[in-house]
Amino acid sequence: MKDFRLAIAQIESKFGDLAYNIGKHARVAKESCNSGANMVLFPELGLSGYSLRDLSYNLAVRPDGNEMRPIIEASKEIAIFCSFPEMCPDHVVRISGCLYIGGEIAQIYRKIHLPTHGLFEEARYFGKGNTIRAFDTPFGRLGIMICRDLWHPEEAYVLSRDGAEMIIACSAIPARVLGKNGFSVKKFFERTTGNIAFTNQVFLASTNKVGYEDGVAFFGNSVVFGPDGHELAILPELVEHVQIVDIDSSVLAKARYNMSLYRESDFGTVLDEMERIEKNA
Amino acid sequence: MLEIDLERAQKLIEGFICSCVSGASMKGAVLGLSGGLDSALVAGIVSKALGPDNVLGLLLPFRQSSKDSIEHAKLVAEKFGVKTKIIDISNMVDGYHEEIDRFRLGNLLARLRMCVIFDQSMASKSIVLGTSNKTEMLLGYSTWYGDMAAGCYPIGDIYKTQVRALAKYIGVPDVIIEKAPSADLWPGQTDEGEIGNTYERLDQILDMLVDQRLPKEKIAQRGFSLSEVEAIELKMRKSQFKRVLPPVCKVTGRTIDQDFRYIRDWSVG
Repeated sequence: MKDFRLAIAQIESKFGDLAYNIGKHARVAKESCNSGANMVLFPELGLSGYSLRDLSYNLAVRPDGNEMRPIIEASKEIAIFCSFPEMCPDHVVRISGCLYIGGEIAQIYRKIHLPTHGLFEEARYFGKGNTIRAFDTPFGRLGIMICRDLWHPEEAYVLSRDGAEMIIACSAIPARVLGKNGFSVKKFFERTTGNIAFTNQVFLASTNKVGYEDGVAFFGNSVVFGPDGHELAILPELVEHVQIVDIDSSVLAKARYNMSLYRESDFGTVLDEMERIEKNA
Repeated sequence: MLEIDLERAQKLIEGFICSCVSGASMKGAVLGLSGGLDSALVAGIVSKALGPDNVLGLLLPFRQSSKDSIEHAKLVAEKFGVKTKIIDISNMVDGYHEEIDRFRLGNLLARLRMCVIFDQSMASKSIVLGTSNKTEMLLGYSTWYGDMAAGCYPIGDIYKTQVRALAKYIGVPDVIIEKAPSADLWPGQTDEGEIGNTYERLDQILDMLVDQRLPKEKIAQRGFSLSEVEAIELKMRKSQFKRVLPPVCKVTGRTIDQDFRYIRDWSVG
């Protein structure tokens, strides 16, 4: 893994306006590049807006589609991770996150865990992904997750066993359950993401959406954690904010040396037990 | 459970109002100023969100309205610096020439005010802010297409007791916070008298029923009677029609609100 500068672009999208949002992503990517960042992360479904319902069909795009040109062009200068409703090769629409590096698709990831309860209705409109895979980039070996995936620790575990040194993620988290000390979602989100970084000893960065859709405010509060579990950045709640974070790759070796979590993890036993459970199911 | 972070609540609602106004490509907001707590709170928040010059408060008295209502509405407008317009709706009521009881009159007043507010919103390129709170929306204590008619509900997820706390926090005058809540549709009317319970108890029960999803037997063990809880549950169920779009008779494959589903903000931009 290399040292690099990561931009967390916690931005608002214009609901349903693909062209506008693609232009905004490309513009913010260029600004981040000018500020010295080598990679920029955008929120979940940032190109389309989140609460798509039937618009998921109308707005589904292919990662190499013509409308993506501004982002693909901008990615020649800075690596760009963004998210959109994808018309997949099997003609099913999924929630995808794509990392573009050097004007090429470095990796496309399709969200696996689709929240469908309360105000969430993702499984009603989207197909689920079925691939968890780390991949090599000039920055290091990465893994991608999208929002609810972060709440399933097995996914981060698979990525870290597959060699991921850093997990890049995006989300759209509604600000909710306001108590006397702020929104309860803050505590749960930071606890969950911090724990992924700490227990798997990987970097974790997640960019969260802001802005309102039909009265729902998205929370922001994007996070970057180091492999020792320390927070490298917590962005402000509810407002647009772009922050550049220096990723010091040496922390990875230090964290894994100081505390042997990564090497003591018993993957073989987990696998045996999983196989037994599956056989008995 | 009903205690909320007032600073964040205010910020959240301010952002909400700004998004509704810009989403509708409008410039400002109008609202009816009744002299009561709910409209005072919304007036206070919207004046901070949009600037008082972009807010029009409408005072719409009927000849039987309490004199306090007008005085308190003026007090709110003065406090938050919002512009006001007074339009007496007595002649509109008289023009209807029907013998009606006080319940029908109450609904008629609410709907005539709605007509005036929506017309004024067109004139000033503004959206209409509803001032219904969560307690009254859940209980259906409001007039369908009357005071419920609005472009958005800034405090529709805030219970009445929380409205009181937030109103105090943003500086609504004490006289308004302390008086008994009333729709002022006939002399001497009070909300709590008409609903048959105090807001304190209503909010605690609603919070347990709705937000905490507690079984009513459990709620009854916490200092409330089962019949009291059931009465609230019934009001909530009986008023569901006020909280949704009326049903559309399904004929085609894609029926509005059934399988033609887009959020309201689809219209933004």
